Amino acid sequence: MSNSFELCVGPIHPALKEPIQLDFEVEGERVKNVSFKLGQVHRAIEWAGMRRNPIQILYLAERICGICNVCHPMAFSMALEKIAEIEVPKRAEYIRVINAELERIHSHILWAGVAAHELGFDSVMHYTWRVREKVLDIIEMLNGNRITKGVFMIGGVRRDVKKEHIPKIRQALQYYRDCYAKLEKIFLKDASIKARTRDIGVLSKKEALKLCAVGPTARASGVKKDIRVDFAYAAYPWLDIKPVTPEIAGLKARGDTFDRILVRLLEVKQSIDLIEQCLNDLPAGPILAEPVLQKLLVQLKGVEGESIALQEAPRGELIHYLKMAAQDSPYAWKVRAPTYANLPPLIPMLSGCEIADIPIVAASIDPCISCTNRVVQIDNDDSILSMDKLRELSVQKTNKILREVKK
Amino acid sequence: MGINTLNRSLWVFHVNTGSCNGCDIEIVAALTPRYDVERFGIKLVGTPRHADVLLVTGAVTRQMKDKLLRVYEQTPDPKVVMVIGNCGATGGVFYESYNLVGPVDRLIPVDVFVPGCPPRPEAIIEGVVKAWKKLEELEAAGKRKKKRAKEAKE
Amino acid sequence: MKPAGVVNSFKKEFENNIEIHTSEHGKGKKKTVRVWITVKNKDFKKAVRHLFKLQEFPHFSVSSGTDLGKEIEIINHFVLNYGERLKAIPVSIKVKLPKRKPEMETITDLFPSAIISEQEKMEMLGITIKGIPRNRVFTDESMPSNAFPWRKDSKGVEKIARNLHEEKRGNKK
Repeated sequence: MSNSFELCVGPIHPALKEPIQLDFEVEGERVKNVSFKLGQVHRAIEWAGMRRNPIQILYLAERICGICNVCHPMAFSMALEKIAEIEVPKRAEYIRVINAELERIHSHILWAGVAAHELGFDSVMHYTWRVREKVLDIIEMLNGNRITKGVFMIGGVRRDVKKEHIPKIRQALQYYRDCYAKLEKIFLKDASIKARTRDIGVLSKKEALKLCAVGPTARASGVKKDIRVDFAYAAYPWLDIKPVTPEIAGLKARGDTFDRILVRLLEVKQSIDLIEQCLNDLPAGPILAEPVLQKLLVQLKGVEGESIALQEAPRGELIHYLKMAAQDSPYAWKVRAPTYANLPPLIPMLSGCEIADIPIVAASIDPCISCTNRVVQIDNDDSILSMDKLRELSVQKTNKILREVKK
Repeated sequence: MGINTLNRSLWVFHVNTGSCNGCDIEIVAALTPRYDVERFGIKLVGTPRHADVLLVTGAVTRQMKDKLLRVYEQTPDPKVVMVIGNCGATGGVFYESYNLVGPVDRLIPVDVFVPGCPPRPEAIIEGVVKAWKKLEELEAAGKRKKKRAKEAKE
Repeated sequence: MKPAGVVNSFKKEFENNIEIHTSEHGKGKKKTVRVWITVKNKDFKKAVRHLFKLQEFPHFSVSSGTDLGKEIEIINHFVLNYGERLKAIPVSIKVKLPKRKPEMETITDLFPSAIISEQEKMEMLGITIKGIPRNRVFTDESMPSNAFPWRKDSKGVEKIARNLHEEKRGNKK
């Protein structure tokens, strides 16, 4: 008789995120195999997109994901601008980067809070979410809403960064520089976080390359993939930017959960720096290539061709394929969000780890999935462990961790 | 505000039936220090069996329909259902689709709608206040019914 | 390697059995080049293998599919030369499958992560990819088995598609 049994997590679960179903094959405390069931959030967006006009699609694209709602409309408009040969004004390119980087700060800090929650460190979660509110205030000041912004338009942006906004943005950046030291101390120096994340959920460099991991997940394994650097769009070609890997902090990339936390924190710092650069270089000029939307729609109705747009979302590479055939709506539209590419690498990460580590490892790719679940424990001879035995085992494990922490 | 003291804290359970996450992060934002509804004892719980209020986001995908109905049935009475966001209320931007069976009130009775895409945390809090009032009414009605039944027996 | 290098290398390998063109946009630092390759169905796997000669680990992004009327076009999008400032080259390899027998080979042996992408193509376009199981990834049983959402000629989808604004409301369970 096999000692392994199945543990099904999701799609509805106590944690805060999207529905997804993970089926684990576990043996005792060890995870042997993982499989996914997707589709619980399939809303037929691409199908609906092929029945709407490009400006309507911008709002649909924005709602593919509520957290990364800058990158989807941006990638869509980039693909369409390539097909229609619309040149985006330089000022708009800088404003796009400011919006994208503000979103990266908000997304990474949000993730840090979720990661802390998965580790059972709720006070840190509340602290990080408190810190995050500042960037939401800035987003609201610039765009009029906290989450979905409706700021993108084909050929530019709809809202300008006004002169009176700039000191407030600078002030917020300074606030984050001040907080950063504290976040760094909590996440990178704390002994218990280190014990829970170092060498847990390892994704080796080779596996990351082979499984085509993207974004911070790949960079934490030492793979220098960053679309902002390699295939720069918007204003990134003019900015000073390097891919963030653990080497930047002087550490060897091990590809574990700790490295993924480290990379995301360093990226917050990078985003602060990029926004600062944008504010310094912000050129004057118009923000839209074609301010009259009716004219724009007529122009877009006549275009033919296909293109792809690559984009670095907070979670990694995002790609939109678009084909126009001189119709109202696109002939074909395909969206690939980063989590789509980061799910296969989750399998080697989770295989071999312990059940208690599932939430943090799964959360470490920032998929908006993870879960705390109650577990029935069975030891090797299929008998149910007694309370005393469980207590003894947990004391043993705590002592083991304590020894590691003291090291 | 007319809220008499409910004799317990309000516990909520959150079901995501296929939303974009925008409403979900605003719900969490309402719980965390800036808006801090936890100071009123409002708490996100891990199972519908402990909940007084169901927060439903999203326009209900086919795969989530049965799960939503089950969660609704698992929640003990008296219960209040709140729909957060436009897509749960009318379909919103996802109005036409082959994989959506919503809106939510087609499947389960809904007491409070919080419109917005996503609604601000303040709006969610106002919705919770309304849910609270409704819950008090339901509880009072339940007590009256029990009392009448007892009198009739005597 | 420059985009022209990629183009030449493919031309050398496939000679007349390939259509290849590049699309260029922008100037100066903002110049981007995308490479588009069309190969015959029988050469598809060979073209994908050829990428490995250009780079040890080419990056697979996604595959997209379009219904062209009589044919179904499957495009696999790859990225070469990542990791170097402004040097990445997106390479898209297209194959056209006839509608009466839309079959192609899998690339999951070369790119294990392509499995979700390929299953999605089978589900949404009704093609067959040899060598991987046909699973429902995004839709459930209510989707008729002969309906494919991304096909322009498939009518089954309209039957189950609904407009949420027009639904009768107010279920009191």
